[in-house]
Amino acid sequence: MTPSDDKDRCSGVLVLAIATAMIPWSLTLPIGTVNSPGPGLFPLILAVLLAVLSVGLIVEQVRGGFNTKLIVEIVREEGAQVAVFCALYFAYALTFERVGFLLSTGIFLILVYVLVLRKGIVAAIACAVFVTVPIYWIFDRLLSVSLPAGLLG
Amino acid sequence: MDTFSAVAQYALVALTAENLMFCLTGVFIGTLVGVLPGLGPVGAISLLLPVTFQLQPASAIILLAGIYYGAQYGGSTTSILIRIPGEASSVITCLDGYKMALKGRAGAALGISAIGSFIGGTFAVVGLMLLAPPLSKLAIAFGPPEYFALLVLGLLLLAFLGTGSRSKAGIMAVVGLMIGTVGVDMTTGERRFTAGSLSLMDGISMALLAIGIFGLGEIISTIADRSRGMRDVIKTKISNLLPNSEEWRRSIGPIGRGTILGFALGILPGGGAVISSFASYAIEKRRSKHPEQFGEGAIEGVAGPETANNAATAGAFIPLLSLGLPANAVMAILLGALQIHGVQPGPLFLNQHPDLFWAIIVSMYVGNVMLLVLNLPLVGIWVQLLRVPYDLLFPLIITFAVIGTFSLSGSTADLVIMGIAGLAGYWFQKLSYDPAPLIFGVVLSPLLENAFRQSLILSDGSIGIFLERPIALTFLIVAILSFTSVIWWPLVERLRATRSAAR
Repeated sequence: MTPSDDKDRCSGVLVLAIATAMIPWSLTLPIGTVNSPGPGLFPLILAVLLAVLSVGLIVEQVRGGFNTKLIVEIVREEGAQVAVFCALYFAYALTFERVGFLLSTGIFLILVYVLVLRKGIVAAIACAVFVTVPIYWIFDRLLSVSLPAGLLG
Repeated sequence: MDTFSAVAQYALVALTAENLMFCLTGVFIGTLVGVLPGLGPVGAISLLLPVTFQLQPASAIILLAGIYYGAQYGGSTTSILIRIPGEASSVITCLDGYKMALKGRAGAALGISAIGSFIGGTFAVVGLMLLAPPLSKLAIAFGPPEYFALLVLGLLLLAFLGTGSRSKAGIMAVVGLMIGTVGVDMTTGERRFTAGSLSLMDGISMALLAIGIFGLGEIISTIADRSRGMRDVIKTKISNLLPNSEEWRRSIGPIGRGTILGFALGILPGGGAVISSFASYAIEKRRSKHPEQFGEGAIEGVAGPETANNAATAGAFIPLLSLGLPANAVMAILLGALQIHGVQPGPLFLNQHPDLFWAIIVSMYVGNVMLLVLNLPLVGIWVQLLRVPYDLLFPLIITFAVIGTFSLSGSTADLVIMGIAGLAGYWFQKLSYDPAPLIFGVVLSPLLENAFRQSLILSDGSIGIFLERPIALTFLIVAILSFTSVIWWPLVERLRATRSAAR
C-alpha cells in the first residue's frame, strides 16, 4: 500500500459524505418533469454522480484497509503553522472593512511574520510597511480601486 | 473575408499603444511569475482578473494571455539555473538544462530555450489563425444536444487526460459543476444552495475560487513547508546566449518536431503543455543516435520540450475560441473573464467579435517577439530576481489576493470565501487532488445545464435526442470510450502481450 492510498480512502469517505448530504438537499428543490426539468434535476444528477465516483475512489483501494496515519502526520507537522496562519487570515478578513486596509493589512502581516515565520519584530514592521503603504498608494490613489479607510478614515 | 484580410483589418486593434502596453505588461508579469517561486500563471491570472474588469475585453484578454505564454518562457529559466521548474511544463527541462548549466553552457541552454519557444509559439499562432475559423464554421451547426455532448466530452477529457488519479479528477470536475449550480437558477428564479445568504444569490465567483485555490492555497502550502521557498542559484556567469554551430545543428530537428507536436497536443483538453514537453523529450531521446547523452546535458532535451510547451499554449486557444471549450485551467479562467465582459467564446465568437478574435491572435505574435527581447538580453535581471527571498514575496501576493477579491464586490463575505477556498487549495495539494477540473466545472456548469435542459425541452423529454443526432452521438461515444478506457485499455494491452508471446 502506498502513502497516497491512505489519503485516497480518507478523502473518498469525506467526498461520499458530502455527496450523501447533497442528495437530500437537491431533493428540496423542484425536480420538474423530463420534458420540463426543474432547478433540482441537474444538481441531483451531479450529487448521485459524485457519490458513485467517491465509492469508486474508495473501492479502488479497498484491499488496504483504512489508515489515517498520513493525514495525522500532515496535521502534526504542518497543522500548527497552518492553523495560526488561517486564524490570522480570517481575523484579518472579518476586520478588513471596519479597521481599514492600511491598519488591518499592516497588523496582519506583522503578526504573520512574527508568529508564523518567526521573524524579529523590527524586520516584521519594516516589511509590513514596505508592502502595505506603496500598494495602498498604487491601488487607492493611482488606480482608483476603492479600499476601505476604516479607523483612519 | 479571408484570413489574411481579416488579420490586416483587425491587427490595428492589437497594435494600439494601449494594447501593446498591456501585451508587454502581460508577458513581463508572465516571465516574472515563471521565474519567481510560489505563484504560477494560473495564480497570477486569477489575482489580476479583477483588475481587468475595468478594461476593454481585448485589452483584458491580451494582458491575461500574455501572462500565460510569458510564464512558459520564464519557467525554463529556473529549470536550467536551479533545477526547480518554474512551471509543470518545464519539469523535463531540468534534466538536461541544469546539466548544461553545470558544464558552463547555461547561456546556450537559456538561448536555445528562448529561441525554440519563440519559433514554437509563433508557428503555433499561425496554426491557430488557420484552424480556428473553419472549426468555428463547423460548430455553428451545433444545437443544444451537440453542445451538451461536446461539453461532456470536453469535461471527461480534461479530467482524464490530465495528470494524477482519474477518480479524483472526476470528483473535482463534479464538485466544480455542483459549485456552479449555487445561486439563483436563471430559468425559474429558484434559489439553490444559498442557505439564505444574500451574498450567494449570484453564485460563487470563479475568480474568487481561483484566487483562493491557486493564490492563497499556494501561500499556505509554502508557509507550511518552509523548505519550498529555498533555492540555490547557480553561481556561474551566464554568457554566450547564442548556441554554437554544432548546438544549432542538433537543435533544428527537435524545434521543428516540437512545434508540430506541441501544437497538436495543445488542442487536446487536459494539460497539453505538460504532456507535449514530456512527449517531445521521449521522441527526441528515441530518435537520437546518442540517447545516453540525454540527462547529461543534451541540447535536444532542452530545445524540443521548450518549443513544444510554447506551441501547446497557442494550440490551447483553438478549442476555447472556436468551441467555447477550455483546454486547461488558464483557458477556463480566460473563458470566465470573457463571460464577465459579456463575450461568449464559441462557434459564433468569430462572427460576433472578429475584432477581439484577431486582436488576441495578433497580440500573440507581438507578445512572442517581446518575450524574445525580454528573455535573451535581459536574462541577467531574471537571474538576480531568482535570489529574492520568498519572505518578501508572499506579503505582496497575499495583499494582491485580498485587494483583487475585495474589488469584486466590496464584500467581507468574499474574503471569507476566498480564505475557505485557500484552505481547500492547500488540502487539494496535500491529498493530490488537481484543482484544475474543479475550475472547469464551475465555468462550464451553467453552459452544461442550459444545454441539457434545452435538449430535453426540444425533444419533449426524450433522452434519445442525444443518440439520434450523429454529431452528439459521436461525441458521447468518444466520451464513453475515454471514461471506460481504464477498464478496456489494460485488456487490450494484455491481449496484445498474449498474442506477441504466442508468436
